[in-house]
Amino acid sequence: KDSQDIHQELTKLRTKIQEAREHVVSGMPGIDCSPGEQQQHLASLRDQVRTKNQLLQKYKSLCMFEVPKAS
Amino acid sequence: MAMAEKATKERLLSVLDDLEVLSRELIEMLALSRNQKLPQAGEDTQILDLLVQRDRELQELMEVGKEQGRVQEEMLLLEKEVEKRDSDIQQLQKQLKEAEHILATAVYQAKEKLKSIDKAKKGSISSEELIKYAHRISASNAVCAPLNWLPGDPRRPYPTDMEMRSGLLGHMANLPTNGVNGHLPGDALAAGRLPDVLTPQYPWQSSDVSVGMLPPHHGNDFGLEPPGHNKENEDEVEAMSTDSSSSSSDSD
Repeated sequence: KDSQDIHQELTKLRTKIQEAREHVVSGMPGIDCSPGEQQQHLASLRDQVRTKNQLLQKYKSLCMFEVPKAS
Repeated sequence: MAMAEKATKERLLSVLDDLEVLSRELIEMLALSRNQKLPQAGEDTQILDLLVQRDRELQELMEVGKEQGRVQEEMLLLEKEVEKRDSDIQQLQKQLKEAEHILATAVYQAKEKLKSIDKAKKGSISSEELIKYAHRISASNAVCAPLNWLPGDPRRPYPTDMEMRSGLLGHMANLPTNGVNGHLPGDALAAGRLPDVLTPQYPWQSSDVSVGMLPPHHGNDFGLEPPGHNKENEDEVEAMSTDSSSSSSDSD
């Protein structure tokens, strides 16, 4: 009877651990890379957004018909 | 150091595997020791320590994973913003391309016009000369009927049949060496060599047609015209007919 109880408890343990594995694989986004790599990617994205905002602001405020000064 | 570079997912899965193994070992060990009633030499303590350590590690990794999840949400927002900016840049690029095309076309046309202006300046003609030629053309009434022209006026902006016959070509037709075959019946009739039977009959001929209203090739009727008519034509400039029905070009 004890061995049956142990066997049942081990099965439960295995099931719980398997559920935890599935949760880690599919239920936790963003853990495919290390925290350091993720921070680098985040910084790169922020940089992209900033650069593109500046570019758009520059071209929208640029006067296309400025007459260049004669040298 | 190598562990720090590993992805959080791998580390979590590794810790879970360790926990599973340690837990099973501990349970089996406890079950075995209970059955055999033999004390274990601190082995279960070691397993317990490892188990506690792995559990602590799991907790830390779960916190790291949660934080990474929050960062991932922020990254998704940033990626959406990047996509929007890319779309704006592409739209702006398209508009700039259109503007460039329009400006290039305008510049090209302006250059062509400047070339035409230069070309015209090189071959410029004085306005007096132009006016002189215009006066010469319009003085012959070739572009507009004379102000006193009325329907019935025999004057035309082209040589009339009578004028042609009274000219050099008309006199050449009277020479005996010219055969009938080389001339139209109307010309031979004007030369007086064809009998009336062979006179070309046109549907618009009528006995009531007065002088000046007749279309060409009516040689007999032309004899009724006043003799001074030719002189009048020679003195007058050629008058262009304003009535299209009086044109003789079709009957020629």
